[in-house]
Amino acid sequence: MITVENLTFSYSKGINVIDDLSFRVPEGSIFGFLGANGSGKTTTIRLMLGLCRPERGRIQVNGIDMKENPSAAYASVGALIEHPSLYGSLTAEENLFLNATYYGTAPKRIPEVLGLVGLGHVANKKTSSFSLGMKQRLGLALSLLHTPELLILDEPLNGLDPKGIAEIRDLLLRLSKEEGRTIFLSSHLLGEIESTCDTICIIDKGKHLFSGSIDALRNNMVHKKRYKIHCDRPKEACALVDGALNPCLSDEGTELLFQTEDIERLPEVVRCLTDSGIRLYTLSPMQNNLEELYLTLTN
Amino acid sequence: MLKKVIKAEWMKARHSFLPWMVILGGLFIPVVEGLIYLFRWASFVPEAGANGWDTLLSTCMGLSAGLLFPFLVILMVAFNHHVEYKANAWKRLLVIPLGRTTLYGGKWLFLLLGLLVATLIQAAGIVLVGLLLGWLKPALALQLTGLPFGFLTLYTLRFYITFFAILTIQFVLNVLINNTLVTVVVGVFAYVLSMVLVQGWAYAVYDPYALPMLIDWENATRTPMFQWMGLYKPEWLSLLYSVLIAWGGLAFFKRVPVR
Repeated sequence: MITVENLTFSYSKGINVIDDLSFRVPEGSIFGFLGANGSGKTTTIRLMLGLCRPERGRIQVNGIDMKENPSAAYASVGALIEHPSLYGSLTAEENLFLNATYYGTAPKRIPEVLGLVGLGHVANKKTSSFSLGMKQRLGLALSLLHTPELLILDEPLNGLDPKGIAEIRDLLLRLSKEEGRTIFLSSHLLGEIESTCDTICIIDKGKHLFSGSIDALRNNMVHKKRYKIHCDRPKEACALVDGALNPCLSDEGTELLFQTEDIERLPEVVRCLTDSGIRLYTLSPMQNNLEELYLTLTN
Repeated sequence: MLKKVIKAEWMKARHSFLPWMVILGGLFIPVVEGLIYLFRWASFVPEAGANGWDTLLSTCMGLSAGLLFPFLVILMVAFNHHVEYKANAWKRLLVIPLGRTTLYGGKWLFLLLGLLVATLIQAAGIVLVGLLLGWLKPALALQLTGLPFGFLTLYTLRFYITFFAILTIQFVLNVLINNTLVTVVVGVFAYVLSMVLVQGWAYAVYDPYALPMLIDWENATRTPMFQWMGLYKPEWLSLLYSVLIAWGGLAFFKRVPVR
């Protein structure tokens, strides 16, 4: 659905915001795009949508080269980039009607999408009085209006309350599973990405770190597993672990956290600590959730 | 395609101050001039056999071209762009499958239409005010039978065309600069400078902001100018400038990155 190859871009000469980035978004998938603030997520989305021109590289959306014929690709793309673009003097319905005019969409679709994002009851309210969450929902409705095959959503969950997040998550899952839409989702909410996306791409400082399924990431990271030790003298234990065996990542309260690439070294760690008279209560592997994996990978 | 953009522009503008700006801008000078005529009517009574409309039309259009419409055009264009910047809407508009050329062309045409409406309202306002004055003070010789339709039509057209250059320059400035206040300041400064230049600089006729001030309202009482198809040098220059600047602006707009 989307193919990004060797994408390079800089706002000022010599400093690449995006550096040789490549990834592929499979058709029908929910694709999570992860990265820290300033890592280049929004810039990548802008490049994908043809809002900026890459210095190098190629972007194809639905097989259409974005450099050569962006307008043809736009017909099948619905996008929400950062904050939704809404005209405050118009009502929610009028904002949607405006987009329907541009896309040539039938007006009967307007109440449908308003209902879909849970804004049916405020259709005739001016958007200047909307909360951030309501604006996000309307932004999503705008991107869904012309029933695009591909949705590109940049931080769509910003400003939503937990109930709103759950509703939008369900909506995205429904759009993907029932209607076969491809969803490109950029978000900081790692838990949401984990529960929504089947494929992810992680970037850092404009560079590709990983792309594939979350399971593949887990398998990739198995050698960098983190362990938590609960003991009576964590500071002393940390110094022992750090100096003799493996990097100790933190010691807080009665716990210390360390990382090892070799599971065979665990007995050594235990022996070293017990020989020094430190009382061990538990030794447990950290759960490899996306947040842990992300932090390990970006560290 | 262009129709879609123009329709959408109207939808955005109709609940804003823009329609009022166009209506009030068109009516302002005829109403003010009508009041001046009403209170000092004796000094406007034409000589025996002369047509009172000639003076009313040229005074109204001259005042409007020199004082009101340049500011109206500058503000109208700035307001139209401000709506997009305020809504942070460019990034959405540019991913609509209409293409940047259509979007640019549609917005430009919409503003030209707005200017046309303001010009027509002004022309209608002058006629209505004139008829009212003619009814109240018959000595002013402003009866419908004496209304020079040909003169009115031609001068309304010439008036309209001379503003193309200012409108297009302001339009392109607003595409280039995100801050609409800066474009208004630049436009007003350029216009005020033109008011000075037009007083004596020989090349003022090539200054796009001076063109509306150079229309010869008194039927060629000034230095004779180049004329072709009923249009004079200021109108042709305005058309030429607007086409060239619009084209240059489009070339930029097609490449401009959106942050």
